[in-house]
Amino acid sequence: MENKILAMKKSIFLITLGLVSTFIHAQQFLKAGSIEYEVKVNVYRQNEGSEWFERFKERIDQFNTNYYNLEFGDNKALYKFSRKGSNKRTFSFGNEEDENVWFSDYKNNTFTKLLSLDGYTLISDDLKNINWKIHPEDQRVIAGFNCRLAQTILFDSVYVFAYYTDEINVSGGPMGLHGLPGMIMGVTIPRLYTSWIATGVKATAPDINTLKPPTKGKKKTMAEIQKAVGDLAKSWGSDNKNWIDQMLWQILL
Amino acid sequence: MKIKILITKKLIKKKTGMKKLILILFCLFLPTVFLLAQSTGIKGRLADTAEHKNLQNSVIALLNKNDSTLVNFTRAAKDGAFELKTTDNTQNYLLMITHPYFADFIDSVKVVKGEISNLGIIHLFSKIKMLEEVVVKGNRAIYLKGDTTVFTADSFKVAEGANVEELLRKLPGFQVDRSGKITAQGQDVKKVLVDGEEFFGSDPGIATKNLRADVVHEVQVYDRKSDQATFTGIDDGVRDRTVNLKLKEDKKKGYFGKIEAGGGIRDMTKTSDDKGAGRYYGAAMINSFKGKRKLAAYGISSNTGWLNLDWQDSQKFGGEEGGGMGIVVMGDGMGGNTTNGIPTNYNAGLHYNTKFGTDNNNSVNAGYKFTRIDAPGTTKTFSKNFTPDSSWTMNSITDNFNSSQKHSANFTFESKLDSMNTIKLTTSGNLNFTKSNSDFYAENINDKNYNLINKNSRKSNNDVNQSAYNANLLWMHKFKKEFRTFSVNTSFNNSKSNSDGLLYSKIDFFKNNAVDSTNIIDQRNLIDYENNSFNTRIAYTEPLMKDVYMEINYGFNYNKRINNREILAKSPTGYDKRIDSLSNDYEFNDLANSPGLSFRYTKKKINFSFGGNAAFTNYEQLNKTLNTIRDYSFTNYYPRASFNYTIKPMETIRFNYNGNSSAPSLDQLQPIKVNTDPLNIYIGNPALKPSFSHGFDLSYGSWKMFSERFIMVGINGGFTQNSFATLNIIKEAVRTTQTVNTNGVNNFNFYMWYSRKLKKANIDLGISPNINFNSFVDFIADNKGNSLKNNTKNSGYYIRFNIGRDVEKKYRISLSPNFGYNIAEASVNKIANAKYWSTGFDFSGTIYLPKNFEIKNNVFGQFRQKDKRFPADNNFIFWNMDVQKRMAKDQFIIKFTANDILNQKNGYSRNFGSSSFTETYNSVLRRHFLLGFIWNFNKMNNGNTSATNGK
Repeated sequence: MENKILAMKKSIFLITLGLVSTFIHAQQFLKAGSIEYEVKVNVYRQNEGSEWFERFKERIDQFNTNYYNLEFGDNKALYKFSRKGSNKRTFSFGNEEDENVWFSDYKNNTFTKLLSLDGYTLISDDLKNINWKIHPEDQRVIAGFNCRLAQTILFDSVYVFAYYTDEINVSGGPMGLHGLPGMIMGVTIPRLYTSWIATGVKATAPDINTLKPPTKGKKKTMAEIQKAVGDLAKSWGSDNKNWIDQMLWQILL
Repeated sequence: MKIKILITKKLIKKKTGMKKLILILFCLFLPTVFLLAQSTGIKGRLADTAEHKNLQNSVIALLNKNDSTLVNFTRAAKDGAFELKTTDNTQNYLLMITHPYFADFIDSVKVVKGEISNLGIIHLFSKIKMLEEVVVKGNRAIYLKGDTTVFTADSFKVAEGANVEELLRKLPGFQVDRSGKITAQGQDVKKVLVDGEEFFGSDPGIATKNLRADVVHEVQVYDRKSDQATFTGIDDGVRDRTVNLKLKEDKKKGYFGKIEAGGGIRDMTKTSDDKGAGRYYGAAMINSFKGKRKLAAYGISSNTGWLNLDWQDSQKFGGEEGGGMGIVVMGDGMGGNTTNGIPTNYNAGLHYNTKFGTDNNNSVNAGYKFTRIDAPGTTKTFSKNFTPDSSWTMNSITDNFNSSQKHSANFTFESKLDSMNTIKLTTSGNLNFTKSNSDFYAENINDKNYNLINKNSRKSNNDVNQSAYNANLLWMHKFKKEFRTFSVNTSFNNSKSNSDGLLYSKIDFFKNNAVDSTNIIDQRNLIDYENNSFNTRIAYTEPLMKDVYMEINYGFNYNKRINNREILAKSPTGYDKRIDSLSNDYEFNDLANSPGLSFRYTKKKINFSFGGNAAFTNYEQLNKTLNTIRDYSFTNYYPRASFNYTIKPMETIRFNYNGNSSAPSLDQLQPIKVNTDPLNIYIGNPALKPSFSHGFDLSYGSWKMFSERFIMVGINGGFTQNSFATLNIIKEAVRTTQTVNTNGVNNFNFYMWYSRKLKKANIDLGISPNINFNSFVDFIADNKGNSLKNNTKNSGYYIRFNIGRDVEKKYRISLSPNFGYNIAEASVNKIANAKYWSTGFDFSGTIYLPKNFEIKNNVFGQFRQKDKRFPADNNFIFWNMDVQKRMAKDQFIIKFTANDILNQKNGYSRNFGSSSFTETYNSVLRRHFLLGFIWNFNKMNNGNTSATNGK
């Protein structure tokens, strides 16, 4: 399966460097700061084969780009939308995604996230253990930090490729990704046609008081959400795994 | 201790000449074993062999030996010391030590249960960085894409061999009514596209009825914006709810299609309107794909009406009849029950589309359709008419036969010249030949003494030849500056009609039950009509500041109509005596200039716009026979405002205001004298002023995905100043109608739709109340010529419930009962006042039986409170049933259909008017039975004959 996926080298894109806003000397082993991630969705690839999409294709960029910020310190992190990549017309999943907020407390192994789902939904739970497979020989520099590849399969079938740096001494990352010996600076999830790449790191420690879980929204447990999705799956007939899964991945990440 | 240095082959290949070797040190220890309490794990200390740098914070991680998954990790202390615990087992691990400036250290270690193995001092070497590409791959299954809802067709199980219509019924938020009309997420679907292309001229019925559900990969629902809005990126608020059927790729190599045919079993019961004629239907459809090229053809014929008529045609036969002169204040029609006549139809069509050029920048879409419909029919009406001082009854019967043939062709070419320019040429044309004849008889009887007022018998036949074509060219140019665009849309239309008809009408006017006078019309009507119009619209958009846009537009419309009527009276030598009072040659010229300006503010949650157009219109009416010219000039205004606010995701409030002034039409100002219906005469009113109507619409919608709860609440309403109302002057049961201006016309409507799913019980529930109030004004003049203002107020209170349950592969049922109360009150003619209850239901149920048998029932009933004025039974239940058996993986289906099992279709409808109420009976196809056979065939290239590709 993995070989098959690797063989499907349909689209390859090079991540450009030099977008480093502040170069941090690696040996500082950052414990607090903020990272900006460039989140790119390859909408061309995402909609490949849709003749209907071809009509729009000309008018929009290949990538729907947004920037998210991860503020970290005190072994906690807050990940949320910061700005749009361009004011060009974009083509994306529900444009409400930019209201999502992820708060992770790595010390106590808990998270709280606010999702634009059925209005606003607030989920708190324990951080799930992620079974990372490390490829120590596969390395690259992201935002001036040397990173190593780790790979996991989430939700049974979704490959997640993450580059983490041991130069940041917080085992976190965008969304709820965590558990590597360092900070996740780059993520690629092929099945979501999306990549998250850090473009800059600021060493200025965020105000610890701002690193708080979101409070807006209706409280639900992950189990409730999963059950709701499961119920939805049931109610929409069998065989609908496809899109239900897709949605789940977005929620669970 | 031994050290091994490995050079990664891949790296040498990729990054030669650089010091881009990665040194991976494999050290094999023979660890000294210490016994330490009960803990299991490792410990040690890191040291820099050369520079003795600080190795604090180095990562020390243990990986599983077989799959290199991370087990646990820690960071080195200030002096490089570390200790790492594992599960309480004796096991082999990979030890990985990393540090930014040192080469990775990877080693195999053995951890012994209950021991902290001391690895001693580990030396690290400095290292090199590397860069890698990221590979994006995988497959996709997407549900929401921006404002598009995508349904993966295979996720919704339909019976094998079912058509797209069946599939749509299955999708949440979709409704398909009995005539095949689709509602998606609360709005009527205007277009159905196939792979983004119009299919046989975008007629929704052809695609949904003829394509098999299993060739569809995705159903995409979105609001199609106007071409101009799509191009400029500035939303102009024009939306057409559109369904795009994306076909499976593997179904697009080769061909697929189906052939369906069936025959009818006669119903010889006396009540049958069709005198027991045999019934048949047959349809064939084929789709062929080759790369970007698509070719499709179909042929259909039937005399059952229900199967094969596409939307446009079924609309033509389904109740757009009637209307005429009488003002129908309260329509009370019954949709599917009012079909006039029992048509036999023959349809055929051909469709072609392809793309070519670099990046498929050019596309061509062409099609041809042929339709022939022969429709014999009988209509009976019974109506009560009243003026303030008298009332009478009219009974009429019409036998008619219509035969029409229509050829239509369309061609669209679209080309993206470059990234800044797009052109789109759309042309279409059609030819129509219609032959019709009708035989009409009516009598008017005074209600007081039951004396005859008049009798009219009328025969007419007409041959009409029509042609129409239009061409539309759209050029859109984008500037470098974002959102700055310029576009020109120009169209030219020509339509022509020549009709040649004979009219014979005889009216006997009675006095004291004896013929007092007789009016005979015996004439040949030669009517030629031609219309040429030229329209152009130029629009320029400019971003004023962030999120604020301006559009300046200018429209120019020119319309030239020629109406030539040659009315010939009968003489001994034939129809050769020109009747000067009725023959005329008119030319109408309309010219309108309409500048407009609008502003739009769009932010994530708020979308606000306002603006308007003014239209300076000039009408010119040239009577070429008498050489007279009449001129009318009007200025019309069209203010608009809209406001959308997204409260939460999937929760929105919308407000719209539209102001609309409309100038009176030439027919209202100065109509051409026509005598084809001597009992209804229309005269003009040159003093008419333009009317101005205000309309508003406020709505709230919310959708909760998990509970599948949907709420839509809205109010809309409006009022009209100087509204156009009719003045009826009635003398001797002859009605003369004129248009006048009035105030007091308004309407108000409240609606709600709530639906949700009861998860545990697996039941869908829905409720939708609806309240509306209307106020109309008309004027009635009695025999003495006194004109009275009649204000009619209608109110209706309705509620509809829906309950459904769907157990996969077992059954599917849904029942929706409805209740309503209607009040109609007129200020003058209280005799037309009505208050009545109405109730009805819609039931559908499908049972799936073993051995691929399936039984489907559809029952539709309606009941209304008796009204003494309408003696006819107004209640009915239609029951249709299908039994089918599928064979050979649905390649073949045998289907038995029983329609209108209870034989209750009667084509009955009733209308209340301000000065009349009318009952109408149209001949309709009633109970009949059909036995049919379906063959689905497909051949896909590359040997892919099965549909098992893709998940």
